[in-house]
Amino acid sequence: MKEPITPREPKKVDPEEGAGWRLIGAPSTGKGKRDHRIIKSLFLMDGELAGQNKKLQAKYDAWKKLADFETYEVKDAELVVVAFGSIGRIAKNAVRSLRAKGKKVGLFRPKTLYPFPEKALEKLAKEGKRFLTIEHNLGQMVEDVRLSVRKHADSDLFCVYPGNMPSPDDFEAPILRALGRK
Amino acid sequence: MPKTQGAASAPKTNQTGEELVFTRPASMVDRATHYCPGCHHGIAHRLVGELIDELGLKENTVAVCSIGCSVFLYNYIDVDSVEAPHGRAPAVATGVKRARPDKFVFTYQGDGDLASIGMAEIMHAANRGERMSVVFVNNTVYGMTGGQMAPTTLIGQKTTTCPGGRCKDREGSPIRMSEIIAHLGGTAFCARGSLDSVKNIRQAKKYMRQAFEVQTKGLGFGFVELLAGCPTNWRLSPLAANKRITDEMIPYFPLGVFKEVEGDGTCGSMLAPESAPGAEGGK
Ligand SMILES: Cc1ncc(C[n+]2csc(CCOP(=O)(O)OP(=O)(O)O)c2C)c(N)n1
Ligand code: SF4
Ligand SMILES: [Mg+2]
Repeated sequence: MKEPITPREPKKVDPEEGAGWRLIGAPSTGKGKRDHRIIKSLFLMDGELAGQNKKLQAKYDAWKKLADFETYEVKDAELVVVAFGSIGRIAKNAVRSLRAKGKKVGLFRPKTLYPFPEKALEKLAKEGKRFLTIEHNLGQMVEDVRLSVRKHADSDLFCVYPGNMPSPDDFEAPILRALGRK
Repeated sequence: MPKTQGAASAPKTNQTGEELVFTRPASMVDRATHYCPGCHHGIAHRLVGELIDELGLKENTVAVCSIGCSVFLYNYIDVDSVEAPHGRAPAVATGVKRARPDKFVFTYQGDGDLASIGMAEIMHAANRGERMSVVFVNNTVYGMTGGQMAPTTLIGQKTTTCPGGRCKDREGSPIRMSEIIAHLGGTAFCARGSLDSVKNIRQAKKYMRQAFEVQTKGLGFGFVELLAGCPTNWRLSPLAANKRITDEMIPYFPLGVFKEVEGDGTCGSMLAPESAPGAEGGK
């Protein structure tokens, strides 16, 4: 299963088009005279390395606003199922059919795992919702879910062994179990 | 009167009026070395610098540095440089050269970098006949990370990962890169030199010049292997390390030209180096 994509024009990241870093040979005389340039990622000197790490951290912090997710039927939900990828789609069907049976369940589907949409999940936790993480592995994203909601709630976990492809029916029982657990 | 070596523009006398007969090449930076005493990377760097001066390439060169002790080549050589991920220097150089075919592009790689993790990149770059020059410094170990076994480690040689000595049945035979590269279609020049003696260093420089010139003449891929010492990881004094090259490395890694393409760009014949041992060679 694939996410739908929205094509967009890439932004020009470098308006100078490399004038400040392009490697084309360093003139040592005349008008274009400049020092040689080095493009590298290895910074071993003491302060230099810390400086590089600071720069990288700023970049990771800036990424946080790219966190993306989908919610489905969460408004009045008592239990929110958290699932991503293929399992997110299957869980959505399970939630849909449980809603048809009048169960107050919803879905939170992270579209990005890194950065993780922690703020949006925390907001749901603050509203008093409970959580069930369903994963196609033995529990990886659940760590991020639990960290995001930790001040207000916890998350149950239901795992499907990788190698088995579950159907929406397989999720109904675990979701009802978690919904019933107060 | 001895001629001044190196930088053509270098002053002939110093502040105290003494005549200078040996100076730093113009395309090298004036800074103290970080290499271990007796390490041959310094000599190989200097040969690169001298040739860039002599061929007038300084302002038109992009150096592709690799991962290993010599990643810091760019701190010593005064040309535009890029650092490639481990083993990937020939791939990065391919990109640089194809984007700017007018530039002189060379890689400088160790044996761990080129013959181990980067085996695929070097083989295909040579086979494609990329117009680049490769300086391959073979010191039979992963120097930077503490002397682990490399594909070039000699049979019986002790390293931290083969403390009992490399064993042919377990780790295979040391790989002779020049012999392999010479067989590939795009190689225009391929030779092995050594940095263990003044005589061999002079010869190695001639090979390097040829490996550089097949690129500037557009003939194809230029490759030169340099047998080099790593006294630190060999646990030898610099002098004993030089002797090891002479006594143990050269008999297994014969010196000479392995391929030389004629001027019209068609592939020349394979040349058997005079000292080549039998097919198995080594000990
Ligand atoms: C992808 C990756 N794998 C491993 C390393 C660790 N590493 C750094 S240098 C090196 C070996 C270098 O040996 P060589 O190319 O022979 O250079 P020398 O230091 O001997 O001149 C290794 C394995 C790395 N930097 N990157
Ligand atoms: S460890 Fe070996 S290759 Fe590295 S600088 Fe020291 S002598 Fe040279
Ligand atoms: Mg090495």
